Amino acid sequence: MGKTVLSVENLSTFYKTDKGISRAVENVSFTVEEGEILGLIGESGCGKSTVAQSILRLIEYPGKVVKGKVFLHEKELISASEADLYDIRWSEISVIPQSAMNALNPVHRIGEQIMEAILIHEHVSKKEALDRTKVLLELVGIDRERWKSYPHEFSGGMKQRVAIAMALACYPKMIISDESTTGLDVLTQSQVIALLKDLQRKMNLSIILISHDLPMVTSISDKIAIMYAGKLVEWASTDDILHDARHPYSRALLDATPDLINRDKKIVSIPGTVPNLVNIKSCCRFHTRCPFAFERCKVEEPELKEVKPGHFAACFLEEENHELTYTS
Amino acid sequence: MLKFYVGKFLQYFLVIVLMLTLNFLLPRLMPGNPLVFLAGEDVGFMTSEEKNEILDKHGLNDSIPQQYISYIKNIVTGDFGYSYQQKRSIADLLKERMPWTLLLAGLGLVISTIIGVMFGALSAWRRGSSTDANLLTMFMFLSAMPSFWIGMILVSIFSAQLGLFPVFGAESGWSNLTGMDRFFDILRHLVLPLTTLVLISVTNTFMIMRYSMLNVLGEDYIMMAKAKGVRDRVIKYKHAMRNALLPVATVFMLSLGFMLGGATVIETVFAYPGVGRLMFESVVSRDYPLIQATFLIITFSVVIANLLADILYPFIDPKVGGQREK
Amino acid sequence: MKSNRWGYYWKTLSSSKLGLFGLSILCLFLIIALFAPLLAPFNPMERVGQPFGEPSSTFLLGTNDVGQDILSELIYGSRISLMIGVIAALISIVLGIIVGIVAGYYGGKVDNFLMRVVDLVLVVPFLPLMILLAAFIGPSFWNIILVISLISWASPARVIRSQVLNLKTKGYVEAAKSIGTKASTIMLKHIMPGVIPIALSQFVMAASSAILIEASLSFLGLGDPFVKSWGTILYYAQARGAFLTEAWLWWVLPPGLLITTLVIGFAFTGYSLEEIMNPRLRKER
Repeated sequence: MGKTVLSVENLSTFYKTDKGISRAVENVSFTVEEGEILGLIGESGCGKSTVAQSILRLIEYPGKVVKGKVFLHEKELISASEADLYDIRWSEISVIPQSAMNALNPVHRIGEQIMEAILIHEHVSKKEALDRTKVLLELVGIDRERWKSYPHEFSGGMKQRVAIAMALACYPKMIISDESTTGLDVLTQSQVIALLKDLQRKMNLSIILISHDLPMVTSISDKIAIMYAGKLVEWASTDDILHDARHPYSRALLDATPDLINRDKKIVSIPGTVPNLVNIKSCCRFHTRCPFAFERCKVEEPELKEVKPGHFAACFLEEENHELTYTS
Repeated sequence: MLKFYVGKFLQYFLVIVLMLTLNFLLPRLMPGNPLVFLAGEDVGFMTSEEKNEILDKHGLNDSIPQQYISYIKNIVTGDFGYSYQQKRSIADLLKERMPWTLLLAGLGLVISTIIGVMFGALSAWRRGSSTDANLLTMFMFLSAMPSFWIGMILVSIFSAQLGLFPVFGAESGWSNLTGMDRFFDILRHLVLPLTTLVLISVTNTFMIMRYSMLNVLGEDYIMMAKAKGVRDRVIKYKHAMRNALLPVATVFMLSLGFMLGGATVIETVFAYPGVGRLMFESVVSRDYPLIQATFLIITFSVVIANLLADILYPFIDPKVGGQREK
Repeated sequence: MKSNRWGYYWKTLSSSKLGLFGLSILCLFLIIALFAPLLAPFNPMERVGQPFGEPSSTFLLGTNDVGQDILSELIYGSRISLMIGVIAALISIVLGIIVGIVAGYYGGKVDNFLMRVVDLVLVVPFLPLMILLAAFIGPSFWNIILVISLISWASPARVIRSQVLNLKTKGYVEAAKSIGTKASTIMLKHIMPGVIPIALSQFVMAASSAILIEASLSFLGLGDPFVKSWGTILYYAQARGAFLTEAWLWWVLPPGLLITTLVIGFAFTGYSLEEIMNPRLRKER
């Protein structure tokens, strides 16, 4: 470990709407290292998927990446040419999409869809591509002869496995799993997660695991990044998040999550609603719901700062505390 | 799946039975002399012997159920009655006119579908652009124009003023052309009516294709294809078009009804000797049996087209096809 | 609350260029139709000039085969075309609302039966059927309206039904049902208001197609010869061969342009109404 595979710097993606500019993702920065699983957590609509799409430059009108850099190894993707992107996509970074039910083209055989990815990126014969497709299907626990089937002939969990096989098609270094287990029943979900973890270990993959399911993510991630209303609020090792969360939103999120082991835990929901991101002014976006908010939170945006080695948080409370410790 | 087909088949059967019944009842229920409706307005000039013959032939002296049975029997055996004005058997007239209509409507269907699909896909692909806006406006204006008027304008400009195409008919009747000459003669006569038919029907396909393509382009699998590094062209044709075409395919055959209706009006403008023109001629001369027969033959064609559409659809949609195998 | 909703609709409609354009066209034609006697230079039924007269300062668009002023015919024709379109559309929408609400509300066998009927009507080639009916019942103003509306109710009925299915699951309908409100009251008081906006946009669309159908029927000689619509004018232009001579410029072109403009007026208004009533469509744009 230690080698950085993906590095996202000050990424901002905005959407044009009838009423103004929606600042869907703003100033998001994080890195993913080789063989690391990073859990990207947040409520629906907080911009997790937009981050994923921005990394692959899949944002379409009316959305636009307005600022920031994304380095995959040494290559910068935001300024890369379309032609370069076509080569990089899938061969170096692939996606397991939000819902595999819709991510497989209904009129093509699933095998053809996996082969397509291989044939685009590698100079191999059709037969070789098909052979690899069969191997990949077996790897995710699907009968190799079922490459001939159409997506509608599979169950939800099976489609998810097909989507994983497809993501692995060109042996990429980096996989983004975008809510890929949402909508599956709990049992299937845990099977798929276990499969993902297993493959990650075998192939030394780096994975960004996007989800709103905190317990699931904490069970397999090395690090966790938490997003709220388009901003990254905290980014630290899973341990630190669980036991030493600094941002009030992270804590609130933990408090709102039921705990199977400690059943007496009181579940506290977060009062208030997510702010509208259209034309939002400079402020801490959580201040409307934050029990600790003070004047500064309403007028200034907190930056993501390192609060201890490898632990980042974007909250003025941290800063004020530090200032206090320094002065006294 | 079988149940679906039985249901559909029953529905079409019902359409035909209902339309036959309507046809049977119309001349008998309308106020006035049923003879006029059965034989046309020439009855005034007929002798009483002739009138009796007609009454006998249609069994008007029998009870209504008996009349109904013999009416259905006649239709089933292909006997559509006799046109007292054209002095010919209606079945012969239809046989003579039907090929022209099928030629016109069939070609019109194919061409307008191809054009509509291409522009619809283009428009959706460039959604929000000025190309999209211009195409939309153009096609909306086209669909707002009366079909016969487009035909009249085309004739005025291209035939009457510029003399590029013949004014009417399906071929030059007295020239006795053969072989390729005849083929090109027919083609020259076909250009304007066909253009008109395409112009009035293309908007429908365009709108369906554009809407369907827009939906497909918003699907996750299109983004996935892009994420896979598939080139835009391939996404457009292999991934998007194939799916977007499914709704177009369902309306392809169904448009035949619209085409045949449109042909009625357009054939009239161009004096094109098809079934539609025949219907117009019979309306003008109040040749009621002929009006009914032309209506029936058009309805039959539409129902058959619908049935074909239902039967063929599973072959293009793997989803439905798969279910059928099961 | 209710007036708020309509206020919102109005705001959205007037902020859409397409809608405003369509509405202005409709208003313009309404004015022409209302003030036809003031605007028309001649009585369209009177023979005021030479037959087949070319345009001149007296007869701006020339005269027809019997010497009637074509411009005056066109101005009066707007009344007929507009009235037939609107009345036929109104009748088919009322039929469509009744069928749609009853089918959607009762569901089950009633729904099944009514939707089968809708399917049947939609399968039959509508123009030939209208020609058949019009030929038998004879050409007259009201017969044309009757024939058009007899066939045109089916597709609005289907749209309205799906809206009713939607409304049925809403809390207030369920609530009304659970306290034992009469079915007719629920349909009238609770479902009807939710259906009206969609019915309105369907009505506008139906009007635009009714105008086109009326033109076609009249062109085939099935229009009322005593009240000339634009389609009837074109029927005579065709019958007298006007489109083969110079006369196409003043006898054939103008009526068609008027029909097209009026239909566009309805269609644009309809599209923008549809967009307002159907937020899903709006999001996709």
